[in-house]
Amino acid sequence: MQQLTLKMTGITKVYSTEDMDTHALRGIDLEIYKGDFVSICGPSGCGKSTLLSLLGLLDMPTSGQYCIEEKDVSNLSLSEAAFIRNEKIGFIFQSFNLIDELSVFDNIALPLRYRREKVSEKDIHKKVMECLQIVDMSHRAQHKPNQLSGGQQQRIAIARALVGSPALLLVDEPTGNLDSRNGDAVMEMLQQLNMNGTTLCMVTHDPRYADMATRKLHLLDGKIIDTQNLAEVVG
Amino acid sequence: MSVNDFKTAFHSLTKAKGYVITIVLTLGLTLGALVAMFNLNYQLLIKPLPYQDQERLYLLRGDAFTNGQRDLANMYPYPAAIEAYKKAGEFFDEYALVYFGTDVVRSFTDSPLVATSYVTPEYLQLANVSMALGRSFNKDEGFESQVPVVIISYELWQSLFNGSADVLDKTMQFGEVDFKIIGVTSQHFIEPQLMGPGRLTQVWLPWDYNVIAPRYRVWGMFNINQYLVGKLNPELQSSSIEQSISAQLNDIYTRETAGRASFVGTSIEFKLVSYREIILGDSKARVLLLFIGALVLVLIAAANITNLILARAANQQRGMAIKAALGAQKSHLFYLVLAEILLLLLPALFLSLLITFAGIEILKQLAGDLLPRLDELYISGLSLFFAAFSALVLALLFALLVSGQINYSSLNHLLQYSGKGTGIQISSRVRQLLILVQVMLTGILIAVSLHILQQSMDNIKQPLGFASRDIYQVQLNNGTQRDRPVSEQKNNLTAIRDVLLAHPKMENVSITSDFPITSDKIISWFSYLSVDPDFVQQRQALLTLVDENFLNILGAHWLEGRHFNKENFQTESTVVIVNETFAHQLELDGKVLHKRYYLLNSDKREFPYEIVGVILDFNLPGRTEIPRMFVPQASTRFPRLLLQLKPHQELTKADLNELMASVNSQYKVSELRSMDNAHQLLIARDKLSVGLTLVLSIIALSLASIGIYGVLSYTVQLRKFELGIRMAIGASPDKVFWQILKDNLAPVMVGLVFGFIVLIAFWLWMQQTTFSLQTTTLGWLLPPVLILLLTAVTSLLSVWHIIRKPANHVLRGH
Repeated sequence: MQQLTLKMTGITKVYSTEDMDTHALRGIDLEIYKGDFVSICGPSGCGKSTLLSLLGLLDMPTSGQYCIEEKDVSNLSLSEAAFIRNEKIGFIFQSFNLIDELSVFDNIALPLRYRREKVSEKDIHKKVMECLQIVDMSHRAQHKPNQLSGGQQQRIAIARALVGSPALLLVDEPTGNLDSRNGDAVMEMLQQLNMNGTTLCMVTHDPRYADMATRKLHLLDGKIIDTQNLAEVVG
Repeated sequence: MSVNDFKTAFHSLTKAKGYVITIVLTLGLTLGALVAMFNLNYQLLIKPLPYQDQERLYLLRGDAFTNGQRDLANMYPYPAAIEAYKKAGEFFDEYALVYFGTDVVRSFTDSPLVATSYVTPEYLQLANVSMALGRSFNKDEGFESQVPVVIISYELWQSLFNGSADVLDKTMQFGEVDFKIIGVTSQHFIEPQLMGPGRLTQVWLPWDYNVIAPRYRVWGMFNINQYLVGKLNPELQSSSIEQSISAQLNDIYTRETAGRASFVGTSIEFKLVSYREIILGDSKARVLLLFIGALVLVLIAAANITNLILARAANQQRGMAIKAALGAQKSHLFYLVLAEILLLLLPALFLSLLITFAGIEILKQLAGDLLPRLDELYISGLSLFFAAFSALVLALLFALLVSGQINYSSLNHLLQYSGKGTGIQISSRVRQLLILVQVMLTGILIAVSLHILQQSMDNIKQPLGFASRDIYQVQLNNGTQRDRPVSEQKNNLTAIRDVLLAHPKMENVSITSDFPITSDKIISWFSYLSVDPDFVQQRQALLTLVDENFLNILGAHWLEGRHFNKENFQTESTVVIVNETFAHQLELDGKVLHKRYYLLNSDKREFPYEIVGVILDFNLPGRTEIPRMFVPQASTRFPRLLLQLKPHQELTKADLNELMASVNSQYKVSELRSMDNAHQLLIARDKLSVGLTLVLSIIALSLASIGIYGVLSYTVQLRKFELGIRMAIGASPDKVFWQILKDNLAPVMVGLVFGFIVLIAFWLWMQQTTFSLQTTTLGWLLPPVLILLLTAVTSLLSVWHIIRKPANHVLRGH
């Protein structure tokens, strides 16, 4: 039986301003199991990025329940949310979001330095070099991000997301700023990670890449309108 | 720059009221202080004196030397002044004699003390006197004319005569002479303050009526406050005149003092000192320091404002990016920034002028005794120009600095990424430098203020080393009695003491020549004790003539020995009491009891005086204790009394005058002051320092708070997205805060180090000046502690809005 990694029940998100309320998500129910590769698609403004933010505890839902590995994380404090993010979730962003002032090594090591239980420098070094090897960037450990190409930066971002051995990888349009060749390379890497057991949830506009997932969610106006189990389809 | 730029800037500023108020207040206050200090410096150091041919106005001063060493400064014999006056036509085009003194107006029952100047008629003409009523002195009222007329000041006319129009018909009695009032000086007359700031004449009398007693008008006696002044002949050199007059007068001096052993090897050196130099005195360093202080405040303010403007520019990047995309050149963006800054500086300039005006009035009220020429102070056209010019320079500098930080080519990238998580990395070096400068300047200002504050507080709290409750200092004016034989004067004083002692309100009375707390305006006399009769190994001390009650009234603490007794005083015994400081100067171990020394300037100088007592030092606040000696004798030249009243009793000047009149009506009280009041006057400057330094420290800290917060919030603004990333990958709020604090502390520590170095250099420079400033541990430690605390608080404030919200709010730019 597959292990449930996360579960959302009746999740809504409303952005309120002086003039109006914007319902970004309306009653999302979602289950993601260990080893899943879920892609989330939909037109602009449908709530994909909002859903991903809530999944990654970058924001809090307006209502509903959200559990990660059976722990209710719907109403965590900012410190607790940061802790869960650090321990259980890895992020890969569209624009890489590496810190220019830090070297590649230090960028990847950053999540480990935020651990509550102090990680020794020796262990940090070991894990970082392992992740660099996975993404085939060991030879660039001391470079700065602005010395790398877009594809190389995204690979570093993947390494950073993996270094903490997260339960879930959240990927926000990973190929949006890359050419097709680099985009393919990055997607190949993600697929490989999934095949090795990493649970992925990816937002993408590109139908080719969306079809690489085992499950595809279609969002429209803040609701999941369609779920395709591509593994079953392919199977 | 177009009108549209100003319209855009105005519209933009109306939405940032807090920003506008902060900048206008910050710059207005500090620029106002700077303009006020510029005005003051110009007034004192550059602006000519308000007298015709002011650069040719000089005063002749003399110093007495013995064997090449200066003995007495600014004193020379009365006959030398007369001789110089007679010869003055050889080197002055116009000239006059003046003697500065005080006297009591005997025609009023409370014998008000007035500041007097005894002059030949040319003195007021040299000062371009203008009259409100009547006239000035004429030739017929000059030297050796004995015409009893006076001119009074406008202020005295108002205070003593209520500004009555018929004052010219009135008389004033000084000594036994009634003087007719012939004129009132104009309210706008600027008297040359040759006796220091704040000393203004209230009554001008003819030179002939000066109060120097006949026995002091000899070549063997040296007097102060008497001068020859004049307008130098432009064809002559002052140095040659000094040599000539010194030679001529010394010839006469040597001749007149020939055969007297104590005058062997003595001479008088005469110097011509310009009015400007005398009036300025030692104020130059003071006013320059004030200007530097104000400049430092402006620099702090400028750093603050730069921080705030940069932070605002960071917020406006998107708008600039759109303008750039639509074709705006870099110069267009520069003019936009400049227009906004100019709009801010206009109200700031207006506020600064108000502050300048207020600052000038405050200076006039509070610093009249400290700084000269304050009555001439007003906002000059040059100061207005300086204010406008400074504001314009600052505006250009701000605009250049801000526009220099905008990376024009990177603006395009902002739009390309649709604002999704990109930011422009502006130079961190500038940010670090701003914090460093801010911290350095603030640290210096607070450290100096704290040291001054602490020193002043110590002075205020320091107890006097003697009793002061119910004790009064009485200065007497003996009128025509000063010309009477000394023995008669002494008998009068003793009789007055006895009459006062018999009064039911009186506890004790003492006759003395000096008080332990003296203002700068009261003369104190120094003399010498020597082991040898030739005074080769002499030691100087303040000489006070006292009776047997003096030290008892003060409750002086004895180290050893005894006070004088009645017989000592009556017979003027050859005994002396010294304080601890002088005892250690006479003997290294301070053991001087029963030892004998010769006393200079004594009628009995061939008889050595025995030290019969040693008292503890008085320790006046803010003053290093000087060597003191007390001799049993009545002082007739400057007769004074020390009164100890019974608890809760009071006596007025009129009461005392009435009591003394029973002995001799010539004796009047010229000044009556309680010892407590004298103490308060002594520490008045310290109290003022406490107030000023507190205000200065608060202003400096407030400005620093604004500035450091400004640059930190600007830095955080630039790093906002980076912080969002850190939060996204698991940095908790406190970790983000500590990261920011750690990054901020580096330039702060460097700034503190630089500030410390500058302070050390400043302290070393001060050792070369007449200023003294004791440094304390608290004064060194507290500023960095305050600044570090400030950094921690402002770091937290600057990052608070980020760490208190979910990470997505930062990443998505909510």
